Amino acid sequence: MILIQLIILAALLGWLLWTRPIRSWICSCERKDLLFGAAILGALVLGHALDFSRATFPLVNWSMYTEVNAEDDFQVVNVICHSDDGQQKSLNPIELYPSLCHCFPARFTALVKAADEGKLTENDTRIYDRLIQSMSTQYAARHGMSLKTTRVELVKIDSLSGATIERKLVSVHDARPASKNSVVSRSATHGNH
Amino acid sequence: MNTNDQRQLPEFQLLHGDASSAALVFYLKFFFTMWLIRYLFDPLQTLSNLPLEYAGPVGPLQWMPVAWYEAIHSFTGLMMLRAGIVVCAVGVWFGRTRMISAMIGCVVLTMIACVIRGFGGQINHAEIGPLLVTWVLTLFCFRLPQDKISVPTTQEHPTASVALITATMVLALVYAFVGIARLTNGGVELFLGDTIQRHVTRGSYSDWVLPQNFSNWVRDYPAIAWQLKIGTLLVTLVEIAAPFALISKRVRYVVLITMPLFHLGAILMFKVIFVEQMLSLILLINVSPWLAARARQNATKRSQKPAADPLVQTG
Repeated sequence: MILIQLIILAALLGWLLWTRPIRSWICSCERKDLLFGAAILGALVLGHALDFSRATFPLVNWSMYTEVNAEDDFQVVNVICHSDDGQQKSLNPIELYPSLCHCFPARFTALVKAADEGKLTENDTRIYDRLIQSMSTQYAARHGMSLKTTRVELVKIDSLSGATIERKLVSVHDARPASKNSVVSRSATHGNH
Repeated sequence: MNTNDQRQLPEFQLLHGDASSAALVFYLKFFFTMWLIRYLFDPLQTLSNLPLEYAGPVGPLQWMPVAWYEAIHSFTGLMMLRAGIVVCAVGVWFGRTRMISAMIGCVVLTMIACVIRGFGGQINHAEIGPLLVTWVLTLFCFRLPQDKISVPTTQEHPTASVALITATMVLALVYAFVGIARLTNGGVELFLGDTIQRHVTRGSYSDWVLPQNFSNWVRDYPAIAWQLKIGTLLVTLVEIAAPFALISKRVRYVVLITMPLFHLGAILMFKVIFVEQMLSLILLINVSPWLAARARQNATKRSQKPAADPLVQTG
């Protein structure tokens, strides 16, 4: 598919280069400047074509919202904090880490899904637990609360109607700062896969 | 640049064909001020509270020694990156420090982008296009005589023209990549099926980013759903045509009207925030004539007589 994209792009750029304003402008510019500019644009195209975005970053593949979405449902994560005085609050990770507003939800949801399906390795499980612990500590400090536990839920939502299909508890964590082993319980499905 | 072709066909005037070093410096200042505002208010250092193992090295951070990688992700490291970009952005406003500030600023911005992407799944979002544009403007500054950058003039300069046209092409190509990929990957089904409704529903439940929920509107009023589908098709066509904004005023106006509306719609409907990308559309506005007129005006005020020479330093 990338080949077709490159052919369309080449046709567009060829057409653009063929226009009179561009041709006469090219004649009036220094060749070294033009080559430098062309090299930059070439690198941009190469980054898109190679599609190894994490390696070639910031020269990345630009496909976004480009696929047909035919999924019947999708999942979102709820992180719920329970305080010592019985309050129940929803933890918003973007409020804690605004820099990650574009990229945190997708990765975090994937991690929680993997935790729910028991697909996390021992190391991943440790990272997952530390992540929840860290978010709970941050949330408690920010809101001046004393937290008892943090629950992580996975909510399945119908893609078209927006109705909640299923709400599943993935894990419960001891949110007290002094606790060494933070995990209180995990979902029933954990470890069954 | 005024060629005979352009005089005959005013519709097909090359954008930035008459660019000056003053225009290049104007855009450089604009982009760094944008980054300054962004990172003054973005508490980047809070990321040091996340487990470092959760981050995966991205881009140049992959080749960095582990100790440096850890140092960058520490509270001090992230604060230094944040302070670094603020200092560099301020430095870009002053002639003497402009080039070195811009260069260091680009490196710092890339590090920040790598850190942010390391913690997330989405890698090609919002501020990457403007980051590349900032790199282009900075690298081309080194191709101009240093005095033209520290004390820019409104005199037309071919290198400044290549710089601004390359920067505009970077921005336009980013749109063209997305538009072409949407046509080839999604095809007609993407515009006729329920994909857009599904994206709106999914976006509406991303209440971590913004609270509003418009999925009911799209579900209950088919006319709105159809408007979104037609809108997506139109935006895709405008994205593909974006490189032609370089030579056609009409395409330029269409892009300048359509894309900000699209980005605002994406914020409301999908909760995808592309503020930096939206602001980068300023590259489609030719500031060179305005800068030249302003320089002439200043010269007139200074000399108290009509300005004859437009080639005046803007400072």
